Amino acid sequence: MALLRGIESRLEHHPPQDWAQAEIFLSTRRMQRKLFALFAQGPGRLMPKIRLITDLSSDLTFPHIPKSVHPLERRLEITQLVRQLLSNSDGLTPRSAIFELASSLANLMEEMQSEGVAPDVISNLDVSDISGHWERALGFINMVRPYFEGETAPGVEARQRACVMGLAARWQHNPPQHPIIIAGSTGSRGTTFELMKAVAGLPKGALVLPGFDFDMPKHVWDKLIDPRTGEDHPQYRFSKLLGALNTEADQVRRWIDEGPPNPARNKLISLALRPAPVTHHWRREGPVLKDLESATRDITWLVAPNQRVEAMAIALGLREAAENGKVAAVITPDRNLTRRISTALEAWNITPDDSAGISLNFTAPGRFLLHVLDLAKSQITAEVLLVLLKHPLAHSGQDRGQHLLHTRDLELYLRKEGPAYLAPNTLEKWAGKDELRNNWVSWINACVFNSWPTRTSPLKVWLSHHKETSEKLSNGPEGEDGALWKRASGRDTLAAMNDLAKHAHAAGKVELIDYKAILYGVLNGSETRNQNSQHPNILIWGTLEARVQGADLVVLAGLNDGNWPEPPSPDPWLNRSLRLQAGLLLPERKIGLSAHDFQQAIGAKEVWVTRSVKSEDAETVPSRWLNRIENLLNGLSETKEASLVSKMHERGNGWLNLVSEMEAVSPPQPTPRPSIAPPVHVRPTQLSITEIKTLIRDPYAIYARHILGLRRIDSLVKKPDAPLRGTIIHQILERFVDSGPWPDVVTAKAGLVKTSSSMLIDLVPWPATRRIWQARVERFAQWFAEYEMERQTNFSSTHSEITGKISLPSLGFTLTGKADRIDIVGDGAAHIYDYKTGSAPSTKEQLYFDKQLLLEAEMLKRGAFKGLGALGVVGAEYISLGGKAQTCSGTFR
Amino acid sequence: MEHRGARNINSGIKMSLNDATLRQIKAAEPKSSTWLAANAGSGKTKVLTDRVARLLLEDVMPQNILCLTYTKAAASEMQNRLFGRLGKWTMLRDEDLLQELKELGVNRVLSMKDLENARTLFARAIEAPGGLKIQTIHSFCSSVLRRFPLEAGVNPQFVEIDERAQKLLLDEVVETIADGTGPSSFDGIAHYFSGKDVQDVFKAILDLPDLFSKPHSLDEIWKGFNLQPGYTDDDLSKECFIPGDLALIQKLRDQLLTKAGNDLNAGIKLSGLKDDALTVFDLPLLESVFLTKSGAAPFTPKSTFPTKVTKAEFLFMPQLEALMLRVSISRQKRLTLQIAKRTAALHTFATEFLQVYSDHKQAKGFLDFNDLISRTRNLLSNENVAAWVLFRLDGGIDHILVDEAQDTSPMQWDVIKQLAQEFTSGQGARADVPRTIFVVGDKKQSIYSFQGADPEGFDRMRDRFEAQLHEIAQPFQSTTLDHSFRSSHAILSLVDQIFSDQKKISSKSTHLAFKETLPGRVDVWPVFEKPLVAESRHWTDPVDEVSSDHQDEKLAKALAAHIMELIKTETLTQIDENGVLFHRKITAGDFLILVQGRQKLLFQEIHRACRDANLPIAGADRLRVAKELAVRDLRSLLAFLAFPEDNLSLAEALRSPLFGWSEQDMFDLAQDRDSKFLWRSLQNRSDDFPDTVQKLIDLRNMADFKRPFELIEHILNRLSGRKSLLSKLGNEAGEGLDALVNQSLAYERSNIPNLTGFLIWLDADDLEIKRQMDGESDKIRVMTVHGAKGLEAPIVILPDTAARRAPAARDVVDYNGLAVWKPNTDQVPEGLASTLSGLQDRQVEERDRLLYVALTRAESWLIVLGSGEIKESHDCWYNTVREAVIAKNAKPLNTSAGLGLRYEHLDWVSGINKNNATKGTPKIKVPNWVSQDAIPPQPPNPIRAPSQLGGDKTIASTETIISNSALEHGSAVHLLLETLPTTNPSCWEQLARHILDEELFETALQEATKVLTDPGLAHVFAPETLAEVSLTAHLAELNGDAIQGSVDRLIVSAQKVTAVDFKTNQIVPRLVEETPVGILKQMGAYALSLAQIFPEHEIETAVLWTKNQKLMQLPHHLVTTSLQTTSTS
Ligand code: SF4
Repeated sequence: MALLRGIESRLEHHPPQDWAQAEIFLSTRRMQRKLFALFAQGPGRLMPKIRLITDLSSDLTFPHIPKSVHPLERRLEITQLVRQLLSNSDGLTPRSAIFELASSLANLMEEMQSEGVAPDVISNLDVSDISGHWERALGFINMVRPYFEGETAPGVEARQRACVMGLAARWQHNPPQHPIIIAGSTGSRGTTFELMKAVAGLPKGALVLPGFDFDMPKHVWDKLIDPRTGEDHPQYRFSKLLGALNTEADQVRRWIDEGPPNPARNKLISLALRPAPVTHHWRREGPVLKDLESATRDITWLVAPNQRVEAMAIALGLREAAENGKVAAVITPDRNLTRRISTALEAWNITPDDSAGISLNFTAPGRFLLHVLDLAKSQITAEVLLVLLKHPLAHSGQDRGQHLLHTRDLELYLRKEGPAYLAPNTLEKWAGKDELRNNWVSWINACVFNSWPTRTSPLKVWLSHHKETSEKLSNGPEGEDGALWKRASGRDTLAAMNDLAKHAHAAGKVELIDYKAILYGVLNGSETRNQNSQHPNILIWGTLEARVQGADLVVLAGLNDGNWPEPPSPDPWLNRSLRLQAGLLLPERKIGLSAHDFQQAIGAKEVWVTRSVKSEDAETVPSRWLNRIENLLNGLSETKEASLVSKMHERGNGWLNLVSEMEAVSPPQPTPRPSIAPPVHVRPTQLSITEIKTLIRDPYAIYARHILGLRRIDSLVKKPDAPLRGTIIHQILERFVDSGPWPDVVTAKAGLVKTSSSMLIDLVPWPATRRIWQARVERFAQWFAEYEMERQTNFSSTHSEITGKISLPSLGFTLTGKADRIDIVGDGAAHIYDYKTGSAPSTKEQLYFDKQLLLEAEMLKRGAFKGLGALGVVGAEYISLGGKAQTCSGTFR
Repeated sequence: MEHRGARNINSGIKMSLNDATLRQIKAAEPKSSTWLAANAGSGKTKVLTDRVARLLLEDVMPQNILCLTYTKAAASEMQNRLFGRLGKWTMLRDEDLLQELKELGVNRVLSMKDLENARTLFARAIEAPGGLKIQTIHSFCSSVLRRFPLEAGVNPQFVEIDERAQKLLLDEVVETIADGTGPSSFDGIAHYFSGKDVQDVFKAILDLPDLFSKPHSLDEIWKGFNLQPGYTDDDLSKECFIPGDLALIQKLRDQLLTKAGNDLNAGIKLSGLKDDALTVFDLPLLESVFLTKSGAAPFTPKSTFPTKVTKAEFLFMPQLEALMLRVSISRQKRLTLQIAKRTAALHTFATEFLQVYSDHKQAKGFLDFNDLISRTRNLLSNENVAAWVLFRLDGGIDHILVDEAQDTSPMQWDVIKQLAQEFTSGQGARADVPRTIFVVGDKKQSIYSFQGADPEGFDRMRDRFEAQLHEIAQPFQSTTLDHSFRSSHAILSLVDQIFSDQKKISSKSTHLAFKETLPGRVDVWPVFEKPLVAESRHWTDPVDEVSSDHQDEKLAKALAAHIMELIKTETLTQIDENGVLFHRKITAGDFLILVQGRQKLLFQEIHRACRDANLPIAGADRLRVAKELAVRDLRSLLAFLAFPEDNLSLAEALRSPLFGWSEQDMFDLAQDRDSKFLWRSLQNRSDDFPDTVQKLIDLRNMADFKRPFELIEHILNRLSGRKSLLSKLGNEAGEGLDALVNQSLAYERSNIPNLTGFLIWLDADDLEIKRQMDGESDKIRVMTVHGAKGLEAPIVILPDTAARRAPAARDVVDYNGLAVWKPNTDQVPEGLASTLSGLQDRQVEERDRLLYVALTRAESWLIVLGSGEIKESHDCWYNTVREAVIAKNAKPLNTSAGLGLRYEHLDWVSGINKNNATKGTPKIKVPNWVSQDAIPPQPPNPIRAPSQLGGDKTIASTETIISNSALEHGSAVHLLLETLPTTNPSCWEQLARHILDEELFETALQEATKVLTDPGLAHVFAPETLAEVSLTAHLAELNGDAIQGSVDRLIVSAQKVTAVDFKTNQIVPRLVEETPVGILKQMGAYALSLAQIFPEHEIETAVLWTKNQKLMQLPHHLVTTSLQTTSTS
């Protein structure tokens, strides 16, 4: 790495202890790790002090600056303040916005502290607002005023700034004589900028500026300084720094003598990225560029139709690099793309070394915690419970095998019988008298149906209840040895929870939705590192990493505008011109930083730039930098066909072709309709009446069910669907019919309505559905009551849900079935009824496949129904209770 | 294929400044506000882009331009076009750039400075601060709301919810309303549901937010129906019946019952009346007996009742006739009252529903699609706030451009109006800056009324803006683009013929062909009639099989054969970039087949017929993800992994291409198996199926740890699932899989990822995705007209032209400003009927516009077919086109189905003079490594810490347990010994307090102070010594492993280097030999490293026992030999 080589060359003839005197400040933990690793590869040596710039916020040599308050604690405090302010205001802002507003306000405050902007500066801004909204915003900003005034302990940013200022003052009086180096930082934040200024003034101070553009001419540097036009340029921060140090760009020296991997490319990119006011220089300076061939020779420009193919092509490139023993790195801010690349690499059993960790909310323990939090809902569904029980961390101590068996049996039960919402007795009913099960159920019930804190409770109470419940679930009934906090992700999650508990007092009392937002924010904000065995040469980096590390092949992926660079996030407080007035960072700063990352990354020896033409739903716009490079180069090469851009695209297309080739399949042969002819001895010898329809319409279903023994399993989500409605309305009618006779229609109707409402309450757990079905019953109640009165006067007895069975020895087949209702009328003949909650089958349907009434009639004639004997049939009717209640006589002869 | 898919061919054609382009230039003139009515294919996107370019040339800042498009795709297309054009300028030679600018319509004299300026526009536009605002109105509103959460009352991190999330939310809302034991507002409407999806009603309420914005009282609703306030059923009963009516009817009934036929039937019906008083509830029965049902005067007294004979016999005919008349009159009132009640129930419910829905959204930080617009409108509705918002939007919006204005809804127009408010009133902070609005649209192409489009708004808003701008003397022009750069004169004159009647399409249709020399054809085939004999089939035939003589199947077959024939024999004429005609062969990609509905039989039949004929045909333009076979197979596997006892899912997965089991394999395993659970039986036979079992076990093991996305991708990639599925199901299956993978990512955004939950989430919505059909390579495309908007093709076929029932109006309709819940058709009172038929008329108009869109997709050749019962009198597309070609003097045409008609413009050339471009991908060799696992290189040995080389650190026998507090004390002392020496002793206490926790502070400071003030140790802390020195080395003694550690104190003199380490052990060894071995190893590692670093120096190591301030020197051999017992890593 260049940083180390530069130090080596500077300390070459010095005694070893001079190495130990040197201090190096870096900007990320990962750079620090990397530098340590590089030292480990080198010879035996004393090492410089390698520190992070942010470590200064906890610098011990400034005891008069109070210790900083944890950022989380500060945020929780501000959340309380915002809540108070909102409760006194017009109620325009929704309750759920509190935590987000507070975070956004905290960010603004930290930025003000880091940039050294006092609240007064904001309140004195020249704003022409007659709507009163600025006053409102100021009200919020004023709320955090005390944090600027030293009455409270400083935040991390504030202390960091104070320490840096203190250090600078100290250095002024007593400048250290040993080397102090700041590397890898662009000084984009105010505090860092101040530190860099101070270091630059030291006798042996040095700034190692990442990606400094040595090719940009002076007149461009001069133009850059205006933040309104320059902020989004990759070199803007350096121009600002040079200005502050009273230095010119041409006085900046290379840190190491050795030039960049591809000087011609650097020149090209420098020109392509010229700030907007001077792009007309392209025509003048473009033709002067030398050696465009070698600048572009090692660039592969890949434009994939979609992200999947982009990932696949990149994976192929990485696979080739692995084959050739090269070190290859993918750089992109798009996490979905890196996930796709990682899964594509699985095809060759490569796990890339991904420098980003995984957010805790996606780890097993994080997910487990969030699932447990679902229990705080008022109603618990089978889904919520089973997801939890099946989670690998549930009951993760002893006897997990038994737990899994119980879980499986419970799931089978709930899928079949389960109510929509669970209650303690649901599980008890399942357990029955089985002691093992009962033991298990009481553990679940104790965890699942225990009461969560009431509406508003101290954050600490929420936390400890949540933690306790989670641990109980993880430990199992014997209460031991759960794996919840084991493994790295568990330890990190526990640490995050404990951290939150430590600061919980600052939040005061909160509601469930606050707790959820806070916890989610905390889990989402912390990461854990992947511990799996990773391929040491296939790397995935964040965009920052290109600053410190080198690879043989660098893939810059996901280069679409809106992704790389990302658009600045919307600022609810100040607009661009107000920020400029106040001396705060402009929104384009982030774009400038991304541009800087891009400029540096594309300087690598061998480079891919990739993007996809379509995102999930629409065409994409290429990243602005690609657009610039493409237009510049196209204007420079004479004929379009032979242009350098086309050659780069050709290389990309080669890889796309390889993807297609790899995935190519020959056109499939059409498969014929299945026609099963199972051996006779396995064929079913018994079917029910309703299955006859299935046999005609979908014989494969009968084959699967009766010969293979495969049935569609019930859904875990109990939905109030038509079959359920049918079953329940049948039951209601059965009970009502049995409750006759009634003196008059009015009484009958009232009876039907009442039977229905009491049964629906028992049987239907969805309030809305219950009311709709009740209304439905009420709609046909009058009609049904009238006709039922009539039927009751005609029949001598009625039989509901009566089962029948008949064997047909000649066929070796038994037909079974259940009739909805059979009335015995007049001289002992039968009348068959079938209730339909939908519409009754048409005559044609009855002719072709729906032969239910016909079969029932035939069975009746042969005495197949229990206790009825052989009877003549005088009628068969569908009673249709769909949109319009009516009877339809069926085909039964 | 270059000849297809490219919109607006003109951008590629070199042209002189002819009339068509002059019109475009005039429309793009940036100084004037403009209303532009643009025909299909007239290049409006180009005009829009040109105008933005010209605004930029006039030094308008990119951030002050707002360009609203209808879709995201259109927005990115426009940006890419604009950047493409501006990008080209950067490197053009002066004369070429001048020419370009001239063609763009810049007619002032340009200086070098202007040219330089033009060359910078590209970078300025691409890097406009805050981005160039070319976006849909929804994303514009969303970005405004995010920047004004306080002002708009939204969560700054609000989530825009999609249909699935909205569905789930609505369920939740309704359950909340219906929950509880007492009556609820939900009961009121529950009575009116007739078995269809209740969500339709909720959606209908949400679609008409303005009509429900404030609650309506009963009186207001009654008034809305012209009913007296408080009018009830009783009032109606009293109006309708007079005393004696009941007796009269009873007499009539008795008499009728003695008759036969109609009279008897009527008598039986009348017997259904109860014997007490007559009420409103008896009216339907009376109406059915007394009144006509249809005919010239429906629902008036039946003149044929009772029959003549009875009439003559019945003594009270005058009274009866009077009653019949009253019943007839009351019917209207009865229906009105009924619907008023229904509407009242709806409003009661809607008030609560909207409140609860909005509460739930607020609580979750959700905004739905309508909220984005309505909240922005509300935000801007106050002029003061609007000014503030515009001020904060980076200096305001000076130029607004609106694309596809015919599809803009009234609420969206409101937002546009408010944004333009300042410059239409000539006021505001930037009154001196020129500001314009540019609106382009085509009322003829408005086909999105179901999404709230308001085609009339185009003219209404034009008049409004024109008047306002006139008032403040700002330029305004209203103009049209009549040239089509797409179609042949044949097509265009047919279109003009059809839409010559203004009323039909709400604006006059005049089209001019830019490609005057392009020949064109319109063919109308004879109708494929419905077969005469009713189908009869055997009862064992599959019910879903279409009989071979069905008209749609016959049409599809004939069509496929015709396409085949055309590809084999016909020529297509086109115009190249230089305006020269050329002739080439027809290929499958030239055909675009447009249908009106995807669900129809015809759609399936055409697909099938083309496949059977081996014609290349693209998949359906819409994909129902869950219905895709590949998705179902994968879903089965996932369902099994989530719940292995799901026998059927396992069987489906095994039978699927993922495992490729045959029916026989399945039979062998499943039939007569040894366990209830298929998975258990399979595992019991793992010797027979080792691979399958192993794969499934591996998947089971990872199913709970991986997120659904990773699990699916693992199956598709690592297990080659994608390849197996595609080889069985064809390449089209890939899109379903892609959609499923995207779904798994979408799922994560709003849920805690887990497999069981994912499957449930997946089933909650039947997702349909739109396929991008313009990217299909040389295949026949079949799609709906809606889907084809914006596309074009040389040959367009319309097979689906028979009359269709116009889609029913929505459940809730706007009845003179009152939201009314529509009743069944036979229950509609007169007043409402005209509103409904008005809605119906608008549907019919939209159908006409749909035809316009369909016809104008064609470049050269239009083929119209029809099937089913098409009578000449029918008002359907088929007849419309047929009559038009007849009017155009079409000639007879022989088709395989009989005699049809052809209308032609210019001669169709046969023979080709240009070969079709073939863009075959070169066959490439797949390297071997593509099919091999990578062999990972040896991982580098880890870096080792000298303090972790093994061995005890304490004297084992006595100090076995190192307590936490001892550790904390130790590090506290270390910290002090590192920090204090450089500071003034008077500050030590303060510093120590700052650094250390309360409970450690005192003892640690005491111990440290003792060490630091011990004169015997002064040399260890002398200023020239080094504190906390990190070192690194490779030690041969550790197999060459790297070590890295930090020495507490390093004393370097001319000849000697001493490393001192502090140890805070409570029990201090008395003798060197008693030093714990862990410490010896550590010091040994230091000694050896230092020997490498200081090769000339003598190396010494020592331990400073802080407990008793004893500095113990360690003999070199002792520490170095201790390392030899260290295991290597
Ligand atoms: S900075 Fe100076 S005054 Fe403050 S604690 Fe250190 S030595 Fe004492």
